[in-house]
Amino acid sequence: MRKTIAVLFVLLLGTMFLAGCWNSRELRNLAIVVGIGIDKIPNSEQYRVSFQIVNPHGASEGKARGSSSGEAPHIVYTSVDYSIFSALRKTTQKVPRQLFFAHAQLLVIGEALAKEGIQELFDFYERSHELRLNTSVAIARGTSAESVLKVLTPLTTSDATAISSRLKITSEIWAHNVDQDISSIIKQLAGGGEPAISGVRIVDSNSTPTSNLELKGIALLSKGKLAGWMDGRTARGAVWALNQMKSTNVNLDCGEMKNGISIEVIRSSTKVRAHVVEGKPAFTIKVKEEGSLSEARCSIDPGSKEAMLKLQQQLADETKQEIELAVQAAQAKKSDSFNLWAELKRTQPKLWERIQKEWPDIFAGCEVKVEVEAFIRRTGMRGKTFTQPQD
Amino acid sequence: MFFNNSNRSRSTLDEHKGDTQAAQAPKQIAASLESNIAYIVQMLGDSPDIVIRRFEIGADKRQVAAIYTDGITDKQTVSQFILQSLMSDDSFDPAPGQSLLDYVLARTLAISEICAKSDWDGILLALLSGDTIIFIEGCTDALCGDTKGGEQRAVTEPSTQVVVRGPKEAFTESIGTNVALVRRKIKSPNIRLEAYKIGSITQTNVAIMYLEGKADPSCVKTIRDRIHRLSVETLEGSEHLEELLSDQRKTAFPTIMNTERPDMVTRNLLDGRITIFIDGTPFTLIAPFTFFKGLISAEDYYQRPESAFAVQALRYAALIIALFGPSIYIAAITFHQEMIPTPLLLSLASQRESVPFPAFLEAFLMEVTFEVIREAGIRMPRAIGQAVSIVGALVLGQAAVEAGIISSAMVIVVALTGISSFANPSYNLATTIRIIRFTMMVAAAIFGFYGIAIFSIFLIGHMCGLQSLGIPYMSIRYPYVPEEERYTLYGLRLGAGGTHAQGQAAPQSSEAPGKTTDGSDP
Repeated sequence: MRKTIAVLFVLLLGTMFLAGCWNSRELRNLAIVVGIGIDKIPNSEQYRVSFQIVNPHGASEGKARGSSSGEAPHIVYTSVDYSIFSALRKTTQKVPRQLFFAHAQLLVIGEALAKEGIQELFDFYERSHELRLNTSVAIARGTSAESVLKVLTPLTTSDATAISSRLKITSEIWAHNVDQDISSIIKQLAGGGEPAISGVRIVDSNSTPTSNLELKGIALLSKGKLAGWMDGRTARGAVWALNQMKSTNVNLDCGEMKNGISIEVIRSSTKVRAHVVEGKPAFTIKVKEEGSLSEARCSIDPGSKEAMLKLQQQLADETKQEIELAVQAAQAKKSDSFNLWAELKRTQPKLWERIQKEWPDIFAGCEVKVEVEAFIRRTGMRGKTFTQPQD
Repeated sequence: MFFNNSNRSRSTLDEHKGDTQAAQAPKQIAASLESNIAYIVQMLGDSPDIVIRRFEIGADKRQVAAIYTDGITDKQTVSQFILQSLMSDDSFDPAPGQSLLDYVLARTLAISEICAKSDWDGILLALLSGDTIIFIEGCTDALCGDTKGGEQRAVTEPSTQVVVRGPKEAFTESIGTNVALVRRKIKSPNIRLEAYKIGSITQTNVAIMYLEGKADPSCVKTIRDRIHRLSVETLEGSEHLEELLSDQRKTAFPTIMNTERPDMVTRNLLDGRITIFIDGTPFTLIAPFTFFKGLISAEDYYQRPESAFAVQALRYAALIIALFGPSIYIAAITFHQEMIPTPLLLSLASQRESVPFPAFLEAFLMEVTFEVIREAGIRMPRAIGQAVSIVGALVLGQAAVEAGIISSAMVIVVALTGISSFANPSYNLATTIRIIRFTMMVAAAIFGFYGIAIFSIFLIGHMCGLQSLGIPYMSIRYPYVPEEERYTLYGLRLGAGGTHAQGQAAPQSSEAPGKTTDGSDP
């Protein structure tokens, strides 16, 4: 008897560490979903949900065993229903296999839906045991999510993986976009701020099906609704303010020559401080960055201290300007995309309690100071540029 | 030889013959030469390989017969030191009161090992072991002279436990040679050798050897008691004895180790283990044996400790692969697709598109195929063996993938598992692991990783319950000598730093004096 209990106990103990699906599913009976797109049907409460499914025949990278190479690497199935889950189940009428969501890497939200609000989309993601919260999110800019998913991209098996890997790479080394996953979006929406979501658009849409996709800008949301876009330097300012800057390239003027010098930012950290000035919240964004001289198309002497100090000042000014642009853009749309609320809640919980309700309006009016410290550490593998006479 | 007439030897001949011939069988030999010869001829069924040489000795022409078994005696010794010395000496001059037998024993026979016997059991056993029996008319004792010999395999290189650097000798089928090979390496007076005869029919010579002062007396006692309790008719070899002496019968794991290398025996004796020699097999048994010892190869002692440690780590990895490889593949691909990285999953999915079998069946088919090729390869003549492995690898592997019956990932998994199981230095442990692997695959196919985890828990529980001569099977280090631990790296000697506290047993091994001070688990 005691032995039976001991055995049962061991068996049950195992379940604690081994939670998961127990059904056995053969791989060839699964339709692997890599991307999900959600659009709103105009003038209706229904969603159009698109699933991008990898076609294992087309995606086969190994030796093709008599498979027709002409097959598309991925297929998009679409269903219309009132909830995402019912649309998902409805799709089984069209797909010959069981949909498998654990590898969904991308969620694309149609621009029309984003304008109406994205808040209600994510409950299903949190509730489902199959979907992952580390899925990257992008907003289809100027188009529908379905058409983004239907684009065939070169170099990868599916454009969902293409977009998510692009998001990861470009937000790390070019920093004009952010790679937000669902869990951080939910955190923002549940807190008080707005998530910063990158946009993706179809370039060159005439030449389908081999048209291409491009990440473009960062969405500004106001109360969960798409209010506008930040692009270029403004978008980079937003990345800086969000402390997500890993590396980028800043062009600086060099004497007479506009944008004559490129500085590669190699390290950057941002700290936000919240204060209370006359009962109203105010913020200081402090940036400390390091860069190296990566390209000089004009005469500059990396050996001279004055020149380098001047360059550092230029870099700091440029950074400050970009962050200010981003803050102004966000304040204009009453969209706290920079997590400022979180810092305020942390340091002034009582004040936050009071103003929580009208935070977007207060944010629009509060004072944000930007302080930048910039250092240029290296000048590359060369001294003066070769077009300059050596003296 | 020490196996000959030792009072320690355990004769069970009585029990064997007891029922059939007890009625007419005399216990002692008679004084009449003719009746003795007639008795031997009758007992051994007039066997043609029993040679009976009659002759006369001394001035009074006393009738004498020398009897030996052809083939297992050294004929030259018989003719030179028995027949010649007895027949050439005519001036027999026994002292007053000295019997002729005593005189012959003391003065005539130039045989190093000889004794007088009067019981038939002992005489027959000696005759069938290769001794020459000398009957003298009128004497109620017979002389048994050691003339064992005949054709025997020479000491050769080990064929199953090969090392790159280290001694190149292996045990032979002769127990005497084997004991001598070990004696040559340890010249310590503390070596203890105990001889037994096991099997009422085969009367197989068995000897246990240990180092007094190092070996655990309780282990020695255990093994002695178990040998005494044995009552078998035959002993077929070391595997049989291993099974008979094991602590547990209901386990797939070997709890006694075997080796054909004298240096391994030496090392284990010095570590306090007990060696069992069995006549007729080059494989000696070593006990107590712990699981982790099974992953140590003789080679480890002939390499630098650092590299030996690295290789050992590799062997542990190979053990894990050999045990879990196909099960993890089955579990991941049929239950836990979400844990496979996306690019790998896509690649696997495209490979498995055309495979008509479930993953478990696919894995099972390939594993069985591999085992068949392995099994066939063992007994195949060397020239054909090559061809079979090529056909097996190419035709079954490549063609099955090309035909879309098996996915290429499965071939990789099976090949890796197969190779890994051969990285295990102890062959019988590797076989056990292979058997368990199939059970593990079934567990994985039914319950996924949950099944693997549960089965592993039971497996480890079972292994922890095992014992070898009363020593827990899963002991990390046996025997554990704390003060020596700092000279070792995971059980391997570091430099020549160790000085042994128990100096009594320090042998003067010419081969590697430093090594003998290492008392930790090899």
